[in-house]
Amino acid sequence: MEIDSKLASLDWIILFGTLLFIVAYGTYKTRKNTSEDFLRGGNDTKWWTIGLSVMATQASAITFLSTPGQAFHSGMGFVQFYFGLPIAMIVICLVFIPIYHRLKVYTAYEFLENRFDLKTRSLAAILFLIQRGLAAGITIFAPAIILSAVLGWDLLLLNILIGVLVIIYTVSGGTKAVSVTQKQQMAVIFGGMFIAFYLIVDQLPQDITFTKALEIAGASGKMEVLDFSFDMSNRYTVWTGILGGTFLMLSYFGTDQSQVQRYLSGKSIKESQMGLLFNGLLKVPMQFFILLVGVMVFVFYQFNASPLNFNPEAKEAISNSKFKAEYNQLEQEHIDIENTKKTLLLDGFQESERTQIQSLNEKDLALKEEGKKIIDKVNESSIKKIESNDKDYVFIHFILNNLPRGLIGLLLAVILSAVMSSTASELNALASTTAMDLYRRNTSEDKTEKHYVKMSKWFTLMWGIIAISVACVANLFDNLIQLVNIIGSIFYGNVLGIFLLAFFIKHVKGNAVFIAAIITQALIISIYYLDWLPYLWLNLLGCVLVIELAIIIQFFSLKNDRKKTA
Amino acid sequence: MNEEKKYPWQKMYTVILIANAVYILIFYFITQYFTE
Repeated sequence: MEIDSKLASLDWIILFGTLLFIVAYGTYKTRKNTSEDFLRGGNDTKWWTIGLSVMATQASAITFLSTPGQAFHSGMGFVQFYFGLPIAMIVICLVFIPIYHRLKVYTAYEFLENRFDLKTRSLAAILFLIQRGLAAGITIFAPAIILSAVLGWDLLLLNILIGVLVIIYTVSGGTKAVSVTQKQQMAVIFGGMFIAFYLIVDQLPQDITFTKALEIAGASGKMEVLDFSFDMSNRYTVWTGILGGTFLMLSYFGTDQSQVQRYLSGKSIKESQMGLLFNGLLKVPMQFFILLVGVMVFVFYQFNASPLNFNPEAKEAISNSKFKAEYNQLEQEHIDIENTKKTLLLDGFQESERTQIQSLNEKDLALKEEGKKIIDKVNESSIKKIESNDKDYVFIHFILNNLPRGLIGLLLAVILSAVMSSTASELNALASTTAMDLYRRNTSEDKTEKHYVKMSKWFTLMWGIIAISVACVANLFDNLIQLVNIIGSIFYGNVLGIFLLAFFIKHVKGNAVFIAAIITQALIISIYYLDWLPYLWLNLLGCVLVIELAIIIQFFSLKNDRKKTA
Repeated sequence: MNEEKKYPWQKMYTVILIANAVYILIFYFITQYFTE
């Protein structure tokens, strides 16, 4: 955990140079912002900017830290999670975008007032604010805790630094600044990832070509991209990707203001649609590429020494515990397996060696599982809990130990750019929703646009401080990341259901939807507390419940009205 | 709410669907090639 030996001056210059340039560029480019620029990005954004902005918002730092680690451990199957995305993009282009544009809304929830009533709009906005407000903190915290563990940086300081950098340009330039900076951030992200990929392949032994590397990965089961099984215990299959993925992406891209705000800044309906289609075309290959980086890291470690567990804090905690000898024994066995595999694979992969490689991989996996159990045992007797699942640490370990000086700084800039781009979209969306859906709609006097811009700036600052505060206290809770996912699942389905009712079921009116949404929310929270369903299914249940309840309530209220008239 | 204007199916939607179907087909061949 020696920070100085990990980063050279050149790394610091590249890291801070890149980040400060982006912040300064975003602030400078939007210094003459109009109200329209601040709130809606000026309605002149081109499709490629929208496309990049939408991708940058979704790709958080965890995407670049965790996804290669996911491929390292479990192969390429995670890409199936995104199979529903293009379908969702097309549905949003066909239905959501034309309506949002025609009504010239600032936020997605404004449409709900137009279609239903004020109380439904406010309810959806509040549900969004609770969920996204917490999520913004975790967007900062999740990569910060990994970087602080591997680099020895102060976690609190890192949380505050990331938050302040984002606040500077988001407060100053609003929506326009978010999309302007996201273009630079995506350039840094793509550039860095391509260079990393090239260098990993380049650092393989001379006889190991890219094709041979793929064969080695294949022999270790890392190249099984598609899974057509109907096994419910498999999280990533073609079917969960297409069915569950479509549903999830539809709620995220169609009703979450942090995404809606990106494509509402489009010059025209056509530009907004093209921006989303750009995402629909590139998202699957992009995720495939990030996973392939992880697979190549796996092949790299077939020829180079790797730790039993990639989390450096785990090793440190164990060496101060009574389990040290037991863990060292596992590490020695792991080194023996690595050496045997290295000898086997140096001349490339031969079909006759497949069974032997598979057996060695299974033994190694068993050792790693044993290692995790020891870490968990250490956790039982320690106040500070160490993450035993090391998938988030694989890629950063590779970067810090194997990339040349300068490039380490660039790759850290990739990770921090990704944190900043997602956080900026979140703060921007939280501020617009607070300003337009709650503040503007509930103040009696009509104020000028300038006044709402000023208030949006204050709200951006307020949400920035809330996000930093959540990030700073996140470490005190055992499973805060999971808690945020649970909160998301509790609210997301209900909100999507409200939007689907608005778009597709014309005879249902505001009162029925509002009552149905309140009942659904109460039921979903109860179901979660009674632990009747795994929390990911609460999304689907919430959506179906609110739609069905609203239709039933509408039916009975119509019947009542008819009786009264008669 | 005003009567909604209809927004027709565009060629680009078909292109996106075909492109993604091609990706899945490529993934299928990759899976087949690298699995015993």
